[in-house]
Amino acid sequence: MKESSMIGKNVPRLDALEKVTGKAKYSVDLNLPGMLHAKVLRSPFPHARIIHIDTTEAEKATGVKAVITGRDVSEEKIGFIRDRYILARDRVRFLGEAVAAVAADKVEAAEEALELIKVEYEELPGVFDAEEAMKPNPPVVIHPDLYTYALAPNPTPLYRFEPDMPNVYIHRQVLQGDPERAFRDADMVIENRFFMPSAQHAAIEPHNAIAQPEPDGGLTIWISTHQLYLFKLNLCRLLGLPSSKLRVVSLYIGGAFGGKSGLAVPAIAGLLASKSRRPVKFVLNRDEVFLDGNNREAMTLCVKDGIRKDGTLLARQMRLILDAGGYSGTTALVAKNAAFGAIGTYNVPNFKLDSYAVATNNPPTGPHRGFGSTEVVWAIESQMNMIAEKLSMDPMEIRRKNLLREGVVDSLGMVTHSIGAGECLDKISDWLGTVPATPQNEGAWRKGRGIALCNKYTIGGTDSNVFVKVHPDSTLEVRHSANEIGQGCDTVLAQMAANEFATSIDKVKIVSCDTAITPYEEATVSSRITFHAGNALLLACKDAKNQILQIASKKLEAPSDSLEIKDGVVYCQGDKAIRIVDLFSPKGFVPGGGEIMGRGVFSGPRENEDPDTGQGKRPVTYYAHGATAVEVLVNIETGEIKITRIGSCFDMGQPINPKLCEGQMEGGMGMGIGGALFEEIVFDKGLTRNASFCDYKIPSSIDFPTKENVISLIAPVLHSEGPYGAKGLGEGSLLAVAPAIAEAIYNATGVRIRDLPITKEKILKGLNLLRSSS
Amino acid sequence: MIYLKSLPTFEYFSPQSLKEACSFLKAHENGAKIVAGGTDLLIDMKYRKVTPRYLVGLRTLPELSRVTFGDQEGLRIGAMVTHQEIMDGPIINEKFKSIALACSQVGTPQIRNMGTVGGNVCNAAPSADSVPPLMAYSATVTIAGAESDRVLPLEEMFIGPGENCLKAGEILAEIRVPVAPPHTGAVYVRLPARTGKDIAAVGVAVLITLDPTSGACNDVKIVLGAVAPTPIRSRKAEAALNGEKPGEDLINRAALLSADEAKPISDVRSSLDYRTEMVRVLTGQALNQALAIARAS
Repeated sequence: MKESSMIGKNVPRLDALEKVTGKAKYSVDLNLPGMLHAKVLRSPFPHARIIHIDTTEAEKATGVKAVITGRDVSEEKIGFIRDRYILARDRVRFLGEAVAAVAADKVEAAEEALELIKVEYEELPGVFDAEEAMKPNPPVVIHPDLYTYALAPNPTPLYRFEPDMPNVYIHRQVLQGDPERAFRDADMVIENRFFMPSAQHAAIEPHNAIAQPEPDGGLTIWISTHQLYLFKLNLCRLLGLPSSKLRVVSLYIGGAFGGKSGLAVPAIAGLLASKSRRPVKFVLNRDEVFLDGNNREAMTLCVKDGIRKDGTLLARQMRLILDAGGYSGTTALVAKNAAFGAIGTYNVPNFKLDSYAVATNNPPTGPHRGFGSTEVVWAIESQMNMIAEKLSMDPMEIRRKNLLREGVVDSLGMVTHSIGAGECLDKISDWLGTVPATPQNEGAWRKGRGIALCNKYTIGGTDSNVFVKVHPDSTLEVRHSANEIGQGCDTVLAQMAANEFATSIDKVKIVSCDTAITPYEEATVSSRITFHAGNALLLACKDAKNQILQIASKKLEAPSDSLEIKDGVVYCQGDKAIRIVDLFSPKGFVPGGGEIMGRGVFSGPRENEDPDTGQGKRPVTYYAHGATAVEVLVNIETGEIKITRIGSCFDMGQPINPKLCEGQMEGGMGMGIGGALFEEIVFDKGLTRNASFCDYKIPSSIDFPTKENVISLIAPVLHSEGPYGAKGLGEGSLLAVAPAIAEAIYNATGVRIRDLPITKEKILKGLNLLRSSS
Repeated sequence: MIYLKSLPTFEYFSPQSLKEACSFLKAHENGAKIVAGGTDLLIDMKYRKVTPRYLVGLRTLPELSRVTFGDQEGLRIGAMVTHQEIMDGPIINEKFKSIALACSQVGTPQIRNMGTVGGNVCNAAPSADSVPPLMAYSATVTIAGAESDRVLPLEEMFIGPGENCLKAGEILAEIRVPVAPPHTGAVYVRLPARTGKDIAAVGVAVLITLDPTSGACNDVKIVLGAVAPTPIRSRKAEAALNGEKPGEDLINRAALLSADEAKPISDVRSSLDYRTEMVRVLTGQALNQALAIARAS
């Protein structure tokens, strides 16, 4: 590798000034001439047949330009299992499901028109508990035609239907070795049940889209999403448009965390725009985000471990039950991928996992930062602490003893590569151990500390395409379609481009996320952009440099392998050189070549897995690893919890921009505190009881320790296939927070919490139980 | 499920005098609402819980935005005074610390700068933070009417959750807080329901005046917030303490009596059992803190 001037540097984010001055544009800010506003009517029942919808009065209302119902939407459905129409047709399966949509010249007019739509329902019995729903004879079968539904083409469906469990969307299995035998051979078997509730992503910018009809009969749709091309693919299908007639654009995204993966919002905007021939803007209100914003599913996890006296893990068996809700969303895929998180940290020779995504009449669910890993890490890391306690071992020691190591084959059959878990554990426990003493037990406050590990997989078999155009002024125009959702991908890609051309960051211009001009990107998901788009960018830079060197080699009359590009100039050994601008004609054209445009395509590894055992050579592209350490004070009279210190250390391979990595870790810790202590969507027979930030609380700055008590550390273990050895980080930073907090609380009070969130009340109940049993 | 909608249309009426405001309210009995900071009202309107045709703004009436203090007449707080102004007010911080502290616990700076103490009282939320310490100080309210004014003890303002005693054409104009005798300690302790910035799961205000020679309680007020349909006095606990010298056992007994008097509900924020237990814990804390202040003064 050449001397790198830009890699590992804390370049200020390209969008920093725009964002802090409020100039950055988000699609929710866009307003187009003649624009209409859309609103949808939602089902008041969690499960009902639609007998009749009468929109006559609404269509006549002042300002109303278009009304659509399930009759107007295409036969094409959405979901990983194609089970949902954009607007319900003959059945609603959750309270809040959209049954009709209105476009009017004012938001108020659209809202009023909704009240004029008459819907006749016949209520059906509902099922709201996943374990009840998955029984062989459930009270109601939510999708009687489940087995006839089509499946999304990608990625490989690695699961099965369970005909004896008619509400199970999918059953995913993993098997390695002989767990039953290993449990018999083990010195100790420990089994626990854990729970993680449904949660909202709470992105600041709500879900929104604006669709504009184009003269050719097509549409341009601006969408707040993190899946630009995946949305384009599916919207073509849902709107009946050929690829050439749908342009999808994303501006900055005001947070996503997986939540902006639902197609209903842009599809409804598109249908209404086509029908009214006017631009249509559709913005969800915050309560609608809670109802149909692809919340994380609630997951119940049973973990059974067989252990030798010395702490060696012999076998692990896991059973995961996911309350996917009325439609499968992406939760069918979460049920599959949760297995990756379950095997990524520890060496478990005998492993079995059964994961069920279950249909209930709760709202449908989708991806949430972690995509199954948050849940399994919560259970496994809590379990590791309990094992350590039973064996009177140091929780650090039992982890170190069982860690996967470079070259070891994991429980899915993949050879472990690039694992910095041990280094992260060492660095963060050093930090927690060496910091000056903080308040000790005082009055009713008890101090405790906890550490947990985590891993975050990045999915296999995905593709990226990046273009690099070189301007006559030697500026590199990087065209990519990764969504800038706040993670800093624009800055990271710009750093890589500047590095490849040995130039400064201000010579890079980013053009992104417009399917009319920027190339294919699979999706900004699974912490995959630095690695995948980064690799594609390096190839695009190589291509562009080759084009430059070929032209320059003729002009300089020197072999191209003797040339070097630096700061917009091509240098030859000796004293000959030519500026990039001089490769262009005075008209701004490269004779014989036209533009200098490099193209890079990167396809991540893809290997088939065995559908019965989940075994495969490369089910996962790479793992990021990390550890979080927490210190808490717990009030034993009120159950109050104060996080007095929190720190994380991560291995994301080569950090391209360490400051951005720290930002991800700090954000992840904040979000992790929310999930650990506060966040839970509460349902009552399908009714969401806390669909607002008044009733669903996310942490604010006062719930986070002060600056000097927070740290983000880096322990890079390079990945052989990553750009400069980089992997990904975004999601992982959240995962170890909840188990670390739970351990710290146990350490402080002796109360072991297995069900998140850890409320004051749960701690007090636990303390009362301890008192009454002692 | 009640959905959030756009703010409904309304007309804004800006009266020139309190009497004019009262007359307007009386004339449009069901169609008009007073808007102070709007931090509760506008949300209720967006949820269509109320859809007034007229909003009567009181910002043009300077007498409602004043805070004055005199040794004889005590503290007078205009109904339009914001939580932030009370929290920052020098005289309130000096002489009525528990009231300033309670107002500092309301919402966030944006809410405190808009929301008013009069609005907090009239909105009649059981969890209103400003109310328990005001009640502990035996505050009275001056209610202006189209024909005549009346004065009531603050605690008589509340009928039930979200329900106050104002009749058509009446406006809460002022809150008066008498000066407490020497050797008085007053505190407000609260427990946020979930995050650090959250509605109170329980709030307890205590005011204790001690007899300086005997050390016995001359006067005790205990007010519980968020644990009954309205903020309530914990009269059994008060009675147990009045005339007695408060020791650890007595304080524990009084705290238990308060827990017994609380009638909380279970909701998404907190459960009945937890709230009840927290009334005991917080009453104990508040009594001890108030005693320490009273003894030191």
